[in-house]
Amino acid sequence: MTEPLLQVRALCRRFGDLRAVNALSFEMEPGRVYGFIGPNGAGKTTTMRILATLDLPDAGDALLEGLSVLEQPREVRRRVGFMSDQFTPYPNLTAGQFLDFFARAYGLRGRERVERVTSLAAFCGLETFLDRPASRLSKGMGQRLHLAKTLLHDPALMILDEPTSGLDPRARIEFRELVRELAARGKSVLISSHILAELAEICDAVIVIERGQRVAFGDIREVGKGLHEHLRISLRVLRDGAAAERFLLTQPQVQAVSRHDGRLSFDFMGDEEALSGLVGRAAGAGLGLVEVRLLESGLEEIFLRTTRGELQ
Amino acid sequence: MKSGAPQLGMSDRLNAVLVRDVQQMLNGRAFLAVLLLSLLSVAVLAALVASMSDQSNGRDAFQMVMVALAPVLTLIVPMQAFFSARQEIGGGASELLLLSSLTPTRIVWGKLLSSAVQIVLWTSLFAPVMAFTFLLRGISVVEIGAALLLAMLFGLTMSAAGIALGTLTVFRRVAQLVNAASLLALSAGTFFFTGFLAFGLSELTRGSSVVGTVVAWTIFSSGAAMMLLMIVACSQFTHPYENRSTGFRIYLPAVSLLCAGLTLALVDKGDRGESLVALATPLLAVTVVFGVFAATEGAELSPRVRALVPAQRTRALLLAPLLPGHGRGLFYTLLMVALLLALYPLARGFGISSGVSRLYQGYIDAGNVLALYALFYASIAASIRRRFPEGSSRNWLARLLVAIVFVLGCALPVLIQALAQISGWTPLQILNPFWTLAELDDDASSAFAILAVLTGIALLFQLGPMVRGMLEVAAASRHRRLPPPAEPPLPAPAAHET
Repeated sequence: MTEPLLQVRALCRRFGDLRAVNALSFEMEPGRVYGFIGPNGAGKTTTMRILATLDLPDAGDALLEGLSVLEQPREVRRRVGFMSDQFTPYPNLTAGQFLDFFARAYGLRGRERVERVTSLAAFCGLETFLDRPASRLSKGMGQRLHLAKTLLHDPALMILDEPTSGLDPRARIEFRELVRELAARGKSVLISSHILAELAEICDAVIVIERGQRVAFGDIREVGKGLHEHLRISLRVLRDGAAAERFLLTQPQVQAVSRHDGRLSFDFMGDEEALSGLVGRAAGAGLGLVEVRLLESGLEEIFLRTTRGELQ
Repeated sequence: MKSGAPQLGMSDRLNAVLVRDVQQMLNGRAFLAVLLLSLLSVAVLAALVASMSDQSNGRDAFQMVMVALAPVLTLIVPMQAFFSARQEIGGGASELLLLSSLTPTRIVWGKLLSSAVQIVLWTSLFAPVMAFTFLLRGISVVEIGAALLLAMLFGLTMSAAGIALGTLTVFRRVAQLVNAASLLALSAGTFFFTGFLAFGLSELTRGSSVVGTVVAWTIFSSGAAMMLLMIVACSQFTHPYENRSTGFRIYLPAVSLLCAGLTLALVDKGDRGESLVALATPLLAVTVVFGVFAATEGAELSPRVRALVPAQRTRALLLAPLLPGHGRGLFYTLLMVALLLALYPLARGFGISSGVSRLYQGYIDAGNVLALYALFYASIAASIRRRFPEGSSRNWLARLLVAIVFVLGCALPVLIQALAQISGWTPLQILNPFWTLAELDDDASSAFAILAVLTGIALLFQLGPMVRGMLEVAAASRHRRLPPPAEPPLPAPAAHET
């Protein structure tokens, strides 16, 4: 089993009477993208700030590559890149000078600094914007600059707190591509967003929290499976849909059959072995079967089924 | 390579904040405006100096140049530092910096260096006119050098003040007020400085024997002020859960010892006793303020500070008074008071002239009263702080309450005595150090005795927090010596988890 990159252990954080984070635990493996979702006020930002060493838990700890955010903040900061939802560039500084400053601030020297800034500007599509004042960049370009800044010290873990908030659809799609590219380069990413469809496309796993507590955690597919006691199947037939519906209703372990435009969907109470038998019988029944699909729970369904929308 | 792309260059080894601040300055419009104004001033001054027919008018011409240069060095550069620091803290950029390899010290140092660069830049702009003033005769190179050195030093000290004021987030809600007050203070400083330099320094430096001592003390005072202001700024850039306290706690004994050392080095052998007394008494007054600040910190060490406690028990306990926490703060005040009171027997050892012995005995008595007040107010402060939960905002709340207690303790008894038509010092005035110090002239014994008894009682009440503060450090040290505990397993996943 791969050694976890991040181990979050019973993290607690209170603000007066409010329990922002309540005994939260999870682990992250290297090179994977984790969606961090929950209703407003669930404790996502607080957790992310603790992981980035910007806040201190009242109890519990988090270990990044075995280093404690509580006791070894300097070492953790060298390994973590935190991109908050707010970005305030310095006035009277170009985008290039902004990146150059942070490269120096992260201790990059000489050719390494120049090359890192140039390559990250290229990666984030900023080459033609480097001589523009950073404070006058569009929101989308500003977020790219923020991302490039976060990547300067080559962190093992990227923490992105609602990075696409306020971006237009094109900027959002482009940003999503950048995160996908980061994952392809082996970075671990913890990303929060309220746009679940967007997260579903880039995340391997999900952590759902509500009222500071973990309510779901794991691979999206597996978590989705865990929400149902049965499989949800979709069939498409070329010919008589009504005949196919009658066929399904006669089959064991099949329930809740519905038909729409030649596509049938139903709940299957058996295991995958039994499903294989059912598909074989359907193919032999002359229904013109062209497609069988296992319907998985999306992030939206996971979110709706695991959270109650309770606010603190 | 695009024009905005970074270049390799000489700046590679420089402080990152210095490089960025200079870039920001050069990109800004304010720089261009000040540059044009300064060039205009230089041109006008050059014309005026050239028109001076009297060949011994160099001194007047130099004073004229300094009057033009002083506002740039002591107002414009510090204001730039003030706004730069305010932008750094208020714009939320300081969090980004905290995540980098830059430490608060390097950030503040970079800002101060950036001010120094600006000071050198503006001074060099006026250098050609200054050279003219020397050619006019009537002023020596040493005088020009000393005046310039002090001008730059004051400019740098003002810049440190600007940085410190700009970072004070505790006043965020009254930021405008602070802004205006700092502007006023800096302006007042400028006028004082301008007048001092233009009309005072040149007279003082004219062949006087005390020039060396004056310059040495001025440099030391500016340096000490700058250091304190930098510690203030550093503490504001430091994460609230990290150690904001030790810098202040080291500062006071370090400056006290340096002052004593400088006194012994610069003062004539026969005057050393008096000088040490004159030094210790005001330092005891400063200890009252430092003591209150140290005693109004939260009780416990944050996990991040605990992780830095030395594993070796003796070292940990020796360092304990320098670590944050109000119990340790009280202990620190006690040690600080003891250190400064020890200067009095040392002074007596050097000898105090019989002609002024009565006067200096008065200073020593005042110092003893101030020592008691340092402990008394620190105990009150610790007692107030104990009633609030942990958190840096509560530290400030406790400090505010101590200030209220002080003001009420001074004002109310005066009012009561006025209404009751009682004159003179009464035990009601015990919270009023001014009246108690004034009472020393008349009848020291009763006021001093009451204050000593009350301080003793107050300290007795704080014995528990002091001991707990030291035990906490000992426990942290012991914890650091232990092997790391085995990792607890993750909790079992819920039904829909994997």
